Amino acid sequence: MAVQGTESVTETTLSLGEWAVSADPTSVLACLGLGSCVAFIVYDATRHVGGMAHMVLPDSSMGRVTELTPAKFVDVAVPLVVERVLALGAMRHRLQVHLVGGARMLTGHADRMHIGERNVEAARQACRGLGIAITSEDVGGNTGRTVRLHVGTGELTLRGAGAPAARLAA
Amino acid sequence: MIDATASEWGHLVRLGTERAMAGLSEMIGAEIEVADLELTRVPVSEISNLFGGPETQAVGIYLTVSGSADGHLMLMYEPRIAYAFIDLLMGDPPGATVSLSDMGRSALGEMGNIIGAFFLNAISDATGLSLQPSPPEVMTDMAGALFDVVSSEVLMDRDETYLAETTFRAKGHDVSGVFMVLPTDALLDTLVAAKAA
Repeated sequence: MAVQGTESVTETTLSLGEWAVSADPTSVLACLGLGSCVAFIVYDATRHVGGMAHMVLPDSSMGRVTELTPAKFVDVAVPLVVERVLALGAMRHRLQVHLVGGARMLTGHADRMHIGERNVEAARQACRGLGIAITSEDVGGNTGRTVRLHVGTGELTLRGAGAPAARLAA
Repeated sequence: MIDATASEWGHLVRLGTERAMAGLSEMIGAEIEVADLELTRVPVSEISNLFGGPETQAVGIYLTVSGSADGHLMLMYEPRIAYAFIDLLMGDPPGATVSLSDMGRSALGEMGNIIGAFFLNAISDATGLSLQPSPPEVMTDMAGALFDVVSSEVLMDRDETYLAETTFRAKGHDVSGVFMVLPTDALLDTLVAAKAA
């Protein structure tokens, strides 16, 4: 049902290891409840093209890429999403890049892998490798996050556990 | 092979869960009833949906398993249920706990210790393997963020996992919860090999 005064939007929620790109101004890309996972978000504000990946692990040498979770490894997901937004008409030099997540959920010695920190570092390294600058980061800490990219406007909203949404960009 | 593994794993989980709930009953001084025990194979990415979605607020008690093989134990509660457990464990009147204090975390951690130890002892007894629980971590956050702790390790090798989900409640008290056990491939292989030997 249409509600007067609002635009209907289509939200695509990315589960662990999923990615999406869009040039549809009514679409919203979202990663919900990120813990140690990192959302990689790219946006071209001129062409209104955006992309997002829900990345789980830093390096594809740790396991194997599968059909169901093609973006689970940072070193695979970052170049993949960048390539696909460029294919939709985005320009590399105009890309705004955001990293969200990478929390340390465990505080004791059960945190044997330090995945959150390693995911963030791997994402920074992947961006450097592609020659793209990171516009903003909301990473680390020890709480979960939800992030949404509104493709039509480039607005990026962030919500922490039990907190209201806040605007990160645009 | 997968069917044989599932069947063996299901048998061991049932044994372990019954023992763990008996331990929990002793600890809280109230009879615990297992309402449902379900063994499924699910995509790892969908686990948080089983708990009301990735953004649902939850309290998790997490233990790793080490020794002959690795695995994960996770107890998940809605916050109000975790608070009710704390009241019960601390001997406070119902409704006394409204947030997670250090004392409350410690009480829930102790509950994790009891459940982990009883569960793994039962499996060790049945298989002859040596399996030890880590000290518990008590966390409160979005369910998706809590599950990342487990999902990241499982997703290294595969997209699906066996999930043993036990729903339990204490008779006469408004407390219930979900106890999840996610084995790694190595743990499954080791358990099945030990039973076959």
